Amino acid sequence: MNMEWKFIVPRSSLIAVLAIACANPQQAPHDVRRVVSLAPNVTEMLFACGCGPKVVATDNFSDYPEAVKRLPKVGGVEPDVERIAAMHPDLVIASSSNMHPNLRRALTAARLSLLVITTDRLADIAPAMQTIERKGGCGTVVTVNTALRQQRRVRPKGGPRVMFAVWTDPLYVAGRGTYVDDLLQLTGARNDVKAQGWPEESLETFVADPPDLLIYPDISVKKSAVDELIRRTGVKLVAVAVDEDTFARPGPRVVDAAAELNRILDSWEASHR
Amino acid sequence: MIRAIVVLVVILLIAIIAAATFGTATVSWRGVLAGDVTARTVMLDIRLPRVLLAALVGAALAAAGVSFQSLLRNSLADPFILGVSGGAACGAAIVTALGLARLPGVVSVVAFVGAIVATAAVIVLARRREYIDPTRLLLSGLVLNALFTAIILIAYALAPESDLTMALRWMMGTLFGATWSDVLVLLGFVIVTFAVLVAIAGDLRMLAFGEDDAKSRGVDVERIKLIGFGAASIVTGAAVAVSGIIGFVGLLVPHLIRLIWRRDFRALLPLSALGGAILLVLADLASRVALPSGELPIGAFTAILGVPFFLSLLRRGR
Repeated sequence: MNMEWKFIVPRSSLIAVLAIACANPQQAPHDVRRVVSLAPNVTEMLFACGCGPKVVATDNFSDYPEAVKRLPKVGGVEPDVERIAAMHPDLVIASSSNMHPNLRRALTAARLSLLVITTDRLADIAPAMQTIERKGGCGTVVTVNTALRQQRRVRPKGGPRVMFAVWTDPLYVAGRGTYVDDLLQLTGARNDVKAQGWPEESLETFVADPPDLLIYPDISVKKSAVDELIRRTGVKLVAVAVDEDTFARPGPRVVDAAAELNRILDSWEASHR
Repeated sequence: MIRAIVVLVVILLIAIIAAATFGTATVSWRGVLAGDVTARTVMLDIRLPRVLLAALVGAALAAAGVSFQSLLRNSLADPFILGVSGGAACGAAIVTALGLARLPGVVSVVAFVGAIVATAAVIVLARRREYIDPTRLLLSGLVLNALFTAIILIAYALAPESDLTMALRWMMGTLFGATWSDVLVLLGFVIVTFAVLVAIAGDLRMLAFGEDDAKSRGVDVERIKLIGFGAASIVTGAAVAVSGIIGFVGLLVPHLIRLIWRRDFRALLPLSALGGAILLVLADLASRVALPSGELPIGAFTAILGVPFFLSLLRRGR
């Protein structure tokens, strides 16, 4: 029985690999001259890998680096497949976190090849960038992990307790198993939130067990809203705004996000000795 | 009736040609005929299936609307009030909450099943001693809708944040990513249900004069109600599965047709289907070209295009 399985498993997986390879006729990397990016973090990765000149259009939200602002925009969650097809891209790259379930068949119908990358966690970013570099034939290998390792910290007493709020009314926060949680672990902070994903935190829990630091993205959350939250609950904590795009786009700038987080944590520790 | 059908078919053809001609990519029919690859891809593989899908969804929703109105002898009946669309939306919301909405096709299948389950529930609730009471049917639909809304709210509160935008888009109605296979599947549903509705059209017309009257003329009223209700619900479910929730068509279009032609069910069914197709083709065109990139919800344009027309007719008819 066991013997049989040994033969069956490799053979069937080989067939599966062949089937996938045949079903997705990907361009050879050196043939890729025109790329359409459908997510801001994908655009940033493409430019970091040296594929910037190949990018012919992006989604509506891509705005970094500066050169991206002049590129044609092809929509958001439901991108304009007509315009994408009219641009003759050799490769369309989307992020699994904001990809419409109909996108693949829409692009397949238009005979366009699609690459989907996943960057849900911190550890996904380096392989995602390698994939983009390889499939796009970009030429520059960016070693995000080396730079990230330099941001690793171990802080006394497990570090300050941090809450990362993405909305204040109601209070939505970064829970366990998220990209932000990974950043907190890397920089030696403790995530004050125990729940998984992006839960809604009750004000009661917030008051009963407040974090040392409340960090919030500067575009979605206004300072006045944070002040109101602190005033209403009467908790004692330090609230700091961070650059939203650096923190919300898992891409090459994740190193900047980690560095900014370390600065915030260092200065909190310096004032709470 | 023949003349009215011819007029609407001509308008529908003009609308389809216009919708297939205009879009965000600048390509032309001349390019298609000359064999230009881009023009062929954009117009034949992307735009045309979408335009035809819009026509089929419009025809399906309007035909379902006019059938429900005749069956229940209530001019306010439509797939929404009866809970059919609500059941579909409820299924889609539960799938979203479970984090499965990203898998292609899952929302469509579950929405279809939700519509059918909702219909069955409404009929079972309204049926008493082999008799389906129209008022009880409407009431059951309304009450089930309240329950569906509650489930949808809870499901969306639990759904992954990143899936909410898509879920919201679906609730507003969208034809994004329409392909020829969608067109063929929905065409199959539309042909079969239309055949059924046409076959019982004569009996449905009798029903308009009252159930007792119809019975005395030899119509098996309860059987006709079951068949009509089932067919209209199935075609609604199929339409919602490919397009999400597009409101208002089932209510607006049959009334528009009545205001213009004032005919019985046998004429109302094809005329409403054609009217629904025209409205949705134009609404989809508007939703596609309103913005330089990206699209606006098609459901908003069915109301924006339909309501002024409807109100002007209503005032003139007074």
